[in-house]
Amino acid sequence: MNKFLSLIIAASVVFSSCSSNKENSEDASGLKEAKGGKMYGGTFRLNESDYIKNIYPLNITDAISYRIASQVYEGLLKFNQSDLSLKNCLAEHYTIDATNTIYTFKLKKGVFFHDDDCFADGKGREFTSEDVKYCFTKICTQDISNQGFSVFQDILKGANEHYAATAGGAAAATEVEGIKIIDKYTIQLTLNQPSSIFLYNLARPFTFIFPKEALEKYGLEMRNKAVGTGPFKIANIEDDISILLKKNEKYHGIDSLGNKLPFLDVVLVKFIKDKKTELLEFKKGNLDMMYRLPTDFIIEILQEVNNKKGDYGQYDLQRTPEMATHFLSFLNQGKIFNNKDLRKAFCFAINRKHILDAVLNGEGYAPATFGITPLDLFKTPKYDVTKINGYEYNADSAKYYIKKAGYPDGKGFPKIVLELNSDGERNVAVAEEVQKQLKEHLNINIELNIVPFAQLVENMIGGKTDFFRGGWIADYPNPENFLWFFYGKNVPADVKEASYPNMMRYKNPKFDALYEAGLRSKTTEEAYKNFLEAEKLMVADAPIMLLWYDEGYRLMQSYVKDFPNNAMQFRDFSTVYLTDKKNDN
Amino acid sequence: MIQFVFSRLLYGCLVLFGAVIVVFFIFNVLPGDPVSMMAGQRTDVSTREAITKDLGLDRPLPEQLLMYLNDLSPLSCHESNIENEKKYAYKKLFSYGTQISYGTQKVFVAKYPYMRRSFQTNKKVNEIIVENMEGTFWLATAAMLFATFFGILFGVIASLRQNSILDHTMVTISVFGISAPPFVMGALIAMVFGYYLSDYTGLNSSGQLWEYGIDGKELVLKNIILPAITLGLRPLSIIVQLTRSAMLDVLSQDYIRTARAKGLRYFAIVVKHALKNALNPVITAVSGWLASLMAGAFFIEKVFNWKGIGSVTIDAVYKLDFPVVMGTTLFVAFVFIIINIFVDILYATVDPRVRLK
Repeated sequence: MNKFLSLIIAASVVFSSCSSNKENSEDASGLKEAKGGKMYGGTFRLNESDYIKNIYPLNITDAISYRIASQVYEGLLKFNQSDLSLKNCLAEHYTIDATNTIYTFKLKKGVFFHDDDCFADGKGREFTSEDVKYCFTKICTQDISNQGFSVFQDILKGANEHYAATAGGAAAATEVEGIKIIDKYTIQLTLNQPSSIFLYNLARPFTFIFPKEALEKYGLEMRNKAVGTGPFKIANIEDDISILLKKNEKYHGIDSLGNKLPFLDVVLVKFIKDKKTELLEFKKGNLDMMYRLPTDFIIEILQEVNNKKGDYGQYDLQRTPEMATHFLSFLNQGKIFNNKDLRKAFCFAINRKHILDAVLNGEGYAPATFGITPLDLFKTPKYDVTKINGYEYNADSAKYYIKKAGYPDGKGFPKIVLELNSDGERNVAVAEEVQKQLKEHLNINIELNIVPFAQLVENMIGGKTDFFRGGWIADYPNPENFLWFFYGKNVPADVKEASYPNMMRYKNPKFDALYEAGLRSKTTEEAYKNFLEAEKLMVADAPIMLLWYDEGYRLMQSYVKDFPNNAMQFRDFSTVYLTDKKNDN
Repeated sequence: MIQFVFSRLLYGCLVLFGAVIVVFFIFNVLPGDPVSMMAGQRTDVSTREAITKDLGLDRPLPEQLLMYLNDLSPLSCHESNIENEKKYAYKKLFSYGTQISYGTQKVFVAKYPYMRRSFQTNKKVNEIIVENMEGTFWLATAAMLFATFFGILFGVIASLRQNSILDHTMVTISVFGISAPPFVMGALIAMVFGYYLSDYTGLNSSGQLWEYGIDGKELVLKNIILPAITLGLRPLSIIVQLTRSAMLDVLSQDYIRTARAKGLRYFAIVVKHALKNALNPVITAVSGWLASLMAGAFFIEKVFNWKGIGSVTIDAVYKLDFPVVMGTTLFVAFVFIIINIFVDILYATVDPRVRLK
């Protein structure tokens, strides 16, 4: 029996390697060896389900544009692909003074922009501190193409003043006070007060560096024209079909073994919108990676990958918790849900594990039984969300609070509607389960109203719905990003007035104070401490009904190397390389 | 004749104007705020307001409509400044109004219709339409060629073998072809031929006419096969039915009997005498179908991920991208009108009675 089994395994290994060879032969043929067994050359093919909106750094508002732009542009700092820690990029190193407000950046020498027609001779010139000043001043300048002011607002000295002075396209009389050029390769940034998130902002897309010449020449066309310093250049864009990125031969980066980066010759991004079609293309070997799997196939794929057999057994599966949390929101200032006991009763009445296992087929990292910040994300220093007392299903507590809220056994509870968008039916399935559980556990009836996303957004911002679906995907790896939309100082007193981003209109002065303290903290440890206290307070008030934390699945052809997954799908193709499957075995 | 053409053109313009009004108001009834679909999570209020103002969304609806019509019209009035000159690329006819300060003077200009830029990507709508037109054009043409050729062939065969098993089979299949919803057929065909049998057929379930790889642009004709067949199925079925009934009609005429009595060859009778006369209704049907296919095969383009007018319109509706929705709708209306005018003129030349009415 054992012999027979091993024979099958051996056969399947031989078979799978054969089929992969066939798929990979095209790309493998041009590979050249580099130090440390790595390989130069090849094309990496991936798919995105949505098309890019705009890759002009100040106007990047969607994840897809960010992922493309971060191959072409670079900032002073960069996220580390494996753990999302910060590392130097265009900055060689930096120092922070004792007051934690003056940051001095020494810039990397010998970094050149991509060759482009915007330069006088078509050759990319060297990057200097003038470019940093130009781009950072642009961030502090009002313009309809600038959606990035928040990275410096209230933080950088003189930013608010400059921004106000440039309203309506006016030219500012003075420069931004906090940006100072020391020499060609040194720049100093001065803050109003210490900020725990400032360095993160310097790795975000808004602070990518581009040359003045490009913006002056291309203007609005910077939406798909990119001149940066990154490892790849845009070689071709076919709207809605594909984007072709070619290696920047003059790229300044080298890896720890001394290999000149990047390894890949080409990154080809396709835009197939249907997930099932994408999976078919991946199986045919036309794609090297697939991010997010179609829900219907997840159980099959997980089983086959784990057992290393079947159609999917030959691929590598990367799983990681994502910086995304799903929940339902209450309108905290509304007539029904301004009752804290009622919100708590709802939170205790939901069996989240059942939703995750039975409705989502396990497609999620964990039931959200702690805070809004997902589990296992921020490890150094540790942001320990398990210290937050969240809500698990508890029939007794649910009954106790619903009685305390004035609706014993659900009696007298008004009719309410849960508004949601469908998102491939997943949201609807979850909402139906919530509806069922509320009926079973609280004897409360809710109705579902499925509306288009645009309408949901309008109703949420305008306070037109009491109970609505929400989800949060963080932009950068910091718990602050999960807490900022609970900040209550900007919430209008009148429910009819628009409120954004705090759409549940949660207000707690103690939370606001702790959140602000966290922002101003001098060290990350101190900031995390404040944020954690703030989050504990917020969760105790139950402004939302947390459901589950997301998990990212990435299926990879086995010849792709050095491409670690991370919680925010930050992708850095400069270190990725492909191997020939033959050498791999 | 010239008067006839002129009246048709005028009529076309009125239809276009109606289309603008209807789409404009439908779009503005849709819930949702385009700016919140465009802006980033942390975009501050003043930038949001600036965007709203820039798009003209803060003005009352009738004013927005007038502004849009002014942008569209080849003859229009604008404030005279460099920004507008760049934006509209107009040719100044004459200026009016007194110049108090720079930019207050108005000009009356001639220009190409300006369809604005996409809210979402900032791309010019004219460019979007031109880029997507090609895919739709080739898809529609390929589908119609397929449908016409096989439709007539099958129709003739069925009529020649009336009431045989072959005839009944074809009629039944064509009824199925007419009634099957295109998105179901699309998904089915993509799945079966583009995936399960793709090793044998060598076809893809999605793809474009032009694929861009490392070596540049490459024509991939095989990618058009499945979407064109799917799109052509319904016209094919209708053409089969039309050809069959027209042929049966013609074949029972006296002159066919005379031709037979003369001793002409069977093939010559069928092709030269019968088919030629039976084709009239078919040609009318084909030209009508072609017009509607050119307008974008919404479902087929979506299912096969085909880049064309249909898919770009659907996406724009989702994202509240008003200029794109407006632009593509107007384009579709324009195509319909042109083809209809063309067909009318064709009829008028062939049949003088049409002109006299």
